[in-house]
Amino acid sequence: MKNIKLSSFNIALLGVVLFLFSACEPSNETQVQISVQSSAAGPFFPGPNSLMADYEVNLAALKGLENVSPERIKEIKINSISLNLNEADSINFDSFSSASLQIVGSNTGMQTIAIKNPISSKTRELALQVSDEVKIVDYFKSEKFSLVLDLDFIDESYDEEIGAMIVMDLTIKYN
Amino acid sequence: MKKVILSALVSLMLVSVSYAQNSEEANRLIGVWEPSHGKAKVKIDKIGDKFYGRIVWLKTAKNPETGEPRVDKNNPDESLRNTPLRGYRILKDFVYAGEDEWSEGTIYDPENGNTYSCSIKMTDENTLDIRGYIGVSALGRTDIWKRLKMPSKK
Repeated sequence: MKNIKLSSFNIALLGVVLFLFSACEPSNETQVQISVQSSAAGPFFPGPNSLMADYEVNLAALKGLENVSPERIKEIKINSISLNLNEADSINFDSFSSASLQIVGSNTGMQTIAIKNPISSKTRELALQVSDEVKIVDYFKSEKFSLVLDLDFIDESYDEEIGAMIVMDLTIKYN
Repeated sequence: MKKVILSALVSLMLVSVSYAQNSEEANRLIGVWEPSHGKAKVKIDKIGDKFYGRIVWLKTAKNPETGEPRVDKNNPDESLRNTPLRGYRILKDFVYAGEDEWSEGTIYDPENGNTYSCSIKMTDENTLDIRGYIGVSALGRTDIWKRLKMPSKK
């Protein structure tokens, strides 16, 4: 009986030691801002139209992540996403009723990461409402991913090219 | 040496022709399709190498209670429930598998907020068998979608 008790105690002790080891694992975080230029050529018609952007993942180019390899990234939180229409385009956000932003990779499926509906902005800048649940770590572990920005045109057709800068503010946790 | 170069060029040409044919076959999925219930029309497009379908028309476009455009009220992610249904991508990430079949995709049902694994089989140029399933293909349901022909310009 004594031996059994000792054995249970040992197991519990081992559990505590393992827990302490995992808790002591170094965890760091850094805040980065990523800007990606999206664009699409007209003509655009009433309803949803898509602007596309490709992003080459290069952690070494992001301040604070210069020496972090992709496999060390554990979590990415999207703090905010904003859109800025190109100044050269003769269009404001009051031309659109809603916007949604998707992320997709060659080996990772498409997910919606932010939306805005309805759009009340009459300027060239728009802050999107970020998804509470989206997980984007896997996209940063591949060489590149794409962003698909859907803008819902209200009524008139528009023939010119449209460009929008997508600015993502992220907190990246790594060990 | 000439023979080797010639052989390499012929091989390269054959690969290019095969790729172009495969791409052309795959792109037959692009178009506007109507599910059997007739309550929506879905436009399938290509993004990168994959195919996606989004709602471009709804029989009931507005919420009868509010008069506002219908939104994705059943989305499991509460923060996205205000996404308009018109424009919503319900088919995602399909890859052409050859022999008139597109696989590895998902289909979203806005009526209940569920996403299912999905495969698409083109039975003729204007008909798709869309099979949504959970886990294995045998545990699923097939719906028949018809291609909508664009009116010809006179």
